[in-house]
Amino acid sequence: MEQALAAPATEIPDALDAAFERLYRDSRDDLFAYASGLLRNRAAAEDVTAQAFERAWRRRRTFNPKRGTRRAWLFGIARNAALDELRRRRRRGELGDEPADPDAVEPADAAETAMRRAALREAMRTLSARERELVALKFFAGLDNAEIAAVVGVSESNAGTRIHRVIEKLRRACDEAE
Amino acid sequence: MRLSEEELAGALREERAEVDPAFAAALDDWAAAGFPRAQRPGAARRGPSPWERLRATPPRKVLLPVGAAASLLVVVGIGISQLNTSPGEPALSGGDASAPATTDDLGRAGGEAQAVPGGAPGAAVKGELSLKDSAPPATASPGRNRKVAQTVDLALASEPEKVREVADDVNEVVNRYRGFVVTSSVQSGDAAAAGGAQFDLRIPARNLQGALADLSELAHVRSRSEGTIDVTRDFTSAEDRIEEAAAARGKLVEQLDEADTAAEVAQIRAQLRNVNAQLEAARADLAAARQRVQLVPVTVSIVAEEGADSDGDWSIGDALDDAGRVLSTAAGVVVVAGAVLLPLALVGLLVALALRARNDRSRERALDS
Repeated sequence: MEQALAAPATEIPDALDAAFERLYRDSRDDLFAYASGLLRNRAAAEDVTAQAFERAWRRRRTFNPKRGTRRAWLFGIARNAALDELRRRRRRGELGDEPADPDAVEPADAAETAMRRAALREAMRTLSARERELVALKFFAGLDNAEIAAVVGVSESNAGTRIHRVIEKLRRACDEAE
Repeated sequence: MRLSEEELAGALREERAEVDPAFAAALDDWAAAGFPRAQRPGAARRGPSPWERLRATPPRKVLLPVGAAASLLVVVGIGISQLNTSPGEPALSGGDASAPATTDDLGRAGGEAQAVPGGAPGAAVKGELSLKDSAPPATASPGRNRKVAQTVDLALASEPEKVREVADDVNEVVNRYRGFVVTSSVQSGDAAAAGGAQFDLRIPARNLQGALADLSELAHVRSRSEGTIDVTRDFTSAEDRIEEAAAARGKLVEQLDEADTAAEVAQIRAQLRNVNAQLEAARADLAAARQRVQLVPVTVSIVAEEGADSDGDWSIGDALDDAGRVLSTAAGVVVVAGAVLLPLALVGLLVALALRARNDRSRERALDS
């Protein structure tokens, strides 16, 4: 991946494109993780990830540092693409979750760990899309509260409060499952 | 066992989906190529519909072509309307609109003792002929009973150093057409303000057309006006007075033959002298009226003017005039286009904002299911 990314860095010399190249390198996996966590569909997440980078590349000169970090700007674009995808899937009745990967829980895992992960996944299924998005932004993409607030369009304190509520909800769900 | 917040966070991070290596490699290649839309990777990739593509396009990118197309339509419409209207507007070309185009127009009202049919005898009719008029004056129509006298005023413009030469040429033309100069005044010099000439000429009516044509060739014609005046009353009045005086004279001569006394003879001779004087005066008036018709007063003024010899050519001044007209027309087009496009742009902006707000709300609703 690093080698592949070296190419645009040499081909695109100006500072703006170098910044975008850094953004791509730092955010590619996080963006996919966010989209996948929100959409619960790898194929759709790949499509949204590609769309987000394509749109961001086209609009890279519109980025305004006064309105947030470059990363928050990128996730804002990705969010729109993901929500568009959600709308499309809803219209087509394709909102079902992807089947769980049987290899995700390795046989060598301790039984307690396996049970805990299963409980967590079950608890996550109880989350609404809006709550799931917060989990994806916070724990899958690794955004801080300020960046999440900029992406979702709320204040930083409100974003923190929402995330706390989601964590509490998950914890309760896990406890109930155990 | 209740999970701590850190444990839960760690467990959630472990649930993070990792990118498929094949997709990651394809994405990297695509990024290195500059994110070309046609090569976009993604397992679920599908071509966006035209509507989706339009919605994905920023509003300014839609409004700009639409605005440009609307502007083009407005400009073309105004241009066509400008071409089809304004018959009185001067064309975009050089030259003085008041100057005669050809010498065929010159001396249109010329002619000797021209008459106007249908007019009341003795009624004075005064007309003015401008070179811009396409039709000849009504009073210049030939006829039997009406007597018409003409007047011509001709203004020429010449380079300051050529005023004297043009003045000499005027004299030559007058002589050639058997006319004469009543008064003349010539001021020549290099400075434009110092030069000029004025002529009061008499040209035989039968030679008027030719003389005016030649005079107009001497320099740039700034203006030319021709007037006519009906002098039928002068003719009939003089002729009537002659007839009456001749009749009175005949009677007095008969009375003189029959007079018996010296006193009667003296009285009749006195009356005869008086009648003879009236007869002479009437004859003189008739001769003057005839001369007025046969010899046309022509006033020629020569104005010294820099660049006057550029007559007929497209000069810098003409170019500036044309440029001014083009600019004013363009400014008018811009104003009209602005008047049309500004409301359209405002409406488009409001529509775009409303669509964006509606789209944002629709996206947010996708999370509420």
